[in-house]
Amino acid sequence: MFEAHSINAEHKDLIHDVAYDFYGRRMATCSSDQFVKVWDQDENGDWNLSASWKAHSGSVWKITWAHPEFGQVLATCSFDRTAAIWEEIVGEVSNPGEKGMRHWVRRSNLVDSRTSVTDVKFGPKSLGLLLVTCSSDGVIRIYEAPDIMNLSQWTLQHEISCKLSCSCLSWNPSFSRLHPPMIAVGSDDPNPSTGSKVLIYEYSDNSRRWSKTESISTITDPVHDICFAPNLGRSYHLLAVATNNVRVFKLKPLQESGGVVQRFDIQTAAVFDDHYCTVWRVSWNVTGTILASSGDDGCVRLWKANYMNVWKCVAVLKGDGTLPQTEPTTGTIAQPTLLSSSSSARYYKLGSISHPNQVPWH
Amino acid sequence: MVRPARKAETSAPIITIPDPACNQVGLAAKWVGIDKLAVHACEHKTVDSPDSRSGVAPIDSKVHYLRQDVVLFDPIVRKLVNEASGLFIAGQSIRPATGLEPRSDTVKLSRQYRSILHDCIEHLQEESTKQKKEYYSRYVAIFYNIEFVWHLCEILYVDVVAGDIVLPQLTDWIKFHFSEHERIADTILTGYAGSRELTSSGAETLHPEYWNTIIGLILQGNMEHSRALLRLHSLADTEPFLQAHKFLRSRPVYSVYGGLSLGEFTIRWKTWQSTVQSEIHSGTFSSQKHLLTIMKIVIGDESITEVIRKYCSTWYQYMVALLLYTDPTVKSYDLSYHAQQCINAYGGQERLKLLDVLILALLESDLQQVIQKLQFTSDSGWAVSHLSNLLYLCGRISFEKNYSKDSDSIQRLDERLLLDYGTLLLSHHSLWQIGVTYLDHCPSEGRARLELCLSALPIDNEARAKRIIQIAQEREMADVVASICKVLGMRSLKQNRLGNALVWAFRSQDSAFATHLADLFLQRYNKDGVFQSSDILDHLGSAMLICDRLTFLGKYCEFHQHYRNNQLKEAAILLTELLVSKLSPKYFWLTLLTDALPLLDSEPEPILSYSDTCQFLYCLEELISERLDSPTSQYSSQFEEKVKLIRLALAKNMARTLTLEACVPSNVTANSTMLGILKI
Repeated sequence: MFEAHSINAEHKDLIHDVAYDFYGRRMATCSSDQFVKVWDQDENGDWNLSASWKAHSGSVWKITWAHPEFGQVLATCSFDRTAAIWEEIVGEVSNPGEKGMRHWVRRSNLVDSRTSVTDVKFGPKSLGLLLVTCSSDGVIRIYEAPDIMNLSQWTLQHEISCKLSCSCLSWNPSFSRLHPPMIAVGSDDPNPSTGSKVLIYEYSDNSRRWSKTESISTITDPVHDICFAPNLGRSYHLLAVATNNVRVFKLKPLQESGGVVQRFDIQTAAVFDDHYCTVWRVSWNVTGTILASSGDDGCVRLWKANYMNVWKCVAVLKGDGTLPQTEPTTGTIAQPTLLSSSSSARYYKLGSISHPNQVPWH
Repeated sequence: MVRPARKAETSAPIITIPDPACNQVGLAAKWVGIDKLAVHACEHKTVDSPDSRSGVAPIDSKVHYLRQDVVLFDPIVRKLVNEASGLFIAGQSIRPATGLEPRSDTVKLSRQYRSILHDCIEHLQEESTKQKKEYYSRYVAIFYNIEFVWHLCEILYVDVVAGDIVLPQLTDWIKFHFSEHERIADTILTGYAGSRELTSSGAETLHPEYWNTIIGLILQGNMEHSRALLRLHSLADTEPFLQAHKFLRSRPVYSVYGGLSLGEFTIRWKTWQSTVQSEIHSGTFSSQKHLLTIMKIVIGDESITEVIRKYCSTWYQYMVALLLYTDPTVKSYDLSYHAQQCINAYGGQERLKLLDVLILALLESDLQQVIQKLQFTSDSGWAVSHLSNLLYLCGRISFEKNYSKDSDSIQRLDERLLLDYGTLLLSHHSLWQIGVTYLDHCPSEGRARLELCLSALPIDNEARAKRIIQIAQEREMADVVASICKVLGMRSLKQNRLGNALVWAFRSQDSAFATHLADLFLQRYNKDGVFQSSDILDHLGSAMLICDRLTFLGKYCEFHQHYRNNQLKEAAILLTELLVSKLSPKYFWLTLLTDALPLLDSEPEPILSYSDTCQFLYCLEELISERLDSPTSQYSSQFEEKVKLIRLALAKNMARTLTLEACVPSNVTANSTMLGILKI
């Protein structure tokens, strides 16, 4: 069912985040070792390290790519209370086609936070070059690069305090004239009495302000990750939340009639309890059809809605103490398989256990 | 630490990632594009976690890049993908049926699908005899099963027989897919062809499979072959054989177009049965054990079912064999009952595999179940998408209201499957264009998904970019086109290919980007005195109107052209216009004024008029005063030198023009300002 290609990322400690560029051809990794690494996939499918640098003076929590319309731009956030913008510079080339020397420069250091910056995300490209960060003291900051040709200038446009320690955020990617810009923020405040841990903020063109328009009252447990699904012409937004289970919410904007009571009709589209304990990460695929969640049970579970909108687990991935027969080398790994005859990247088939009862667990 | 997973209730496959770190601390996953997944070991932190080294460091931190094993991307199977897309497109011109009666166009389409499947299986079989044997024979099995299911589906739902008499078709279906008996019969028959008289011993002694083959053929309703084989028996001319031969030949077979009503047929069938029955009772066949079995089979003797079961490897063969001789006019709605009976005889529900479940669902007319289960076949959705579309065209499945009660989105049942199939193809580097055609035919979500997928296609080279843009343009997806052009423009800029970047800026109509590029061109000209990509700049045409700065750049290049062609008059007019119209950026004024030098010195006639010269002078003064005001700018000697030269040339030209223009009586202003100018 699946075949894998393992890349030794050469970080000295665990990887906190992996981000792929818009096309899935470049990979950026960040780690507790305070380094960021960028990998490029060549025509053969192999991943090659193209840059590695010490980015922060604390663990680097998250890394994210800007849309390629803005060039090759990364943003990172760290325990060292800063977020940083990085741009790749290509050296002068004498002939077109020749690859120039590349290196990454820190274009800007966003130092407004007084605590660890826990998440960083670029906004939808239609809004220009926007960046939002959130920090453990509960402040959301929205920055803008007014001139996309000059990434050293970022202005702090909005600062919103949500009074709860923020752990994660997500832009609603479906920006259109119908929906104002929207951000969902999750909090991992452990105290259930502080109320909802998922807050929705929207930007109003009239007041030129961001304001909280909704909070999902059913979630009072800590939230560790949050992710809007890409919207493909739906009338509602789909939001996945990682808390003590995986939840998918449908947010349907309500027509404003008279006094605005509620902004959205919020429905729970799915709840998956299969991780049995804390869920840490959620990720949608490009088309928003499959959700990957990972939790304390040490598994990644893939969820897909069938044609009747009933969600089902389609695969479970879990770590295995045994290595593939060949020890991985830098960049590439393992036995060549028949399938990859067309490319040289070596993929190996992943072992699959069809009967859960036979899972050896120790 | 990772807590052990409890016994999972899901039937989803568990896939193991060979990485000890993942096992120790847990996993995190991130999607890459449409169908790839990156998995890495990840220790989860909360806001309160201290920033310390993880317990497992130092460790080999690995990223596992997972992709699906897609059968369709195999070079041989790819042909099937290509051909199927052709049929699919052709099929979309068929108007979905309103009634359930068979139509020649859908039947033809279904047969064409099966025929390309056949070709594919044949190719795979050829390949499986060469190399990668195990690998390709697995593929053969996948597609063989699909063809088997498709055929049954065609019989029951596409090529529906009038009067709902399905058994003849079902028999053909079994005959077609379990052809071994017929094959053996053919070898036996050809061995005897023409030489029967010469052999003394019968076929039954020469061929150990003789009787098995005949019974197998009988159970598939193949009377011709079994009769021909019976003729080869050494005792073929004895009474029991002649009788058997006669009965097998005279067995009534129902045909819708046979001219018999169902009632008349049943009477004939019963009569024939009782004739054979009485012959059995009279002991005609008692001497021939095998012949007796055959005769009992054909009259549907209940005592013989155990024997039949031994000859049938699957429950559906068994079902067809039983029905042939017990209920030849069975209606399709009764099949479900018979299927259940036969499944019970074969070990019950627990022993059903995916293929059995599919066949059962087809017999039970549970198309939802068929579609759902077909998604689990290993063909990456080829069958389920095409078959469900075909069933939609046949009016068998229709619109599905999404399950949530408030949802107003109505989606065709086959659409989600087509969407998934199209998207899967779009993720492939060379099959993506086929994927586009599938998304084109998904009315509710296809367009939005295509927009998303098109803009996310990696742009490796310009040829590919142009192809993607063309596809987007044909569908009037302006945003996609603009976005791709912007990305390419930015990429060219970062590679220092300004001309190329400018071309992409035109295509995306991105005026801010064009302004930035025009500035870069001008600044570089300031520095080097030459334009990059001058061929593009010289032929901007109306494209220059995208932004003021580019208009200026274009006009400025025009000025150079005039100058090169020695059209000094035109050059001078243009230069003055450029300076006066405020189109020109200030950082470029000095360059413009320097360009004016040769025009100011022109002999014998001055080209620039007095008032033009004044304009030039104003600009120069403004530039100087700005230089003085701004503390950052350095009053370089080079600048000073240039200013001196320009001032001198301006003064000279002014004097010349003033003298000339003052001679013209009407020119009063010239006279009045003469004194003031002399101060310079």
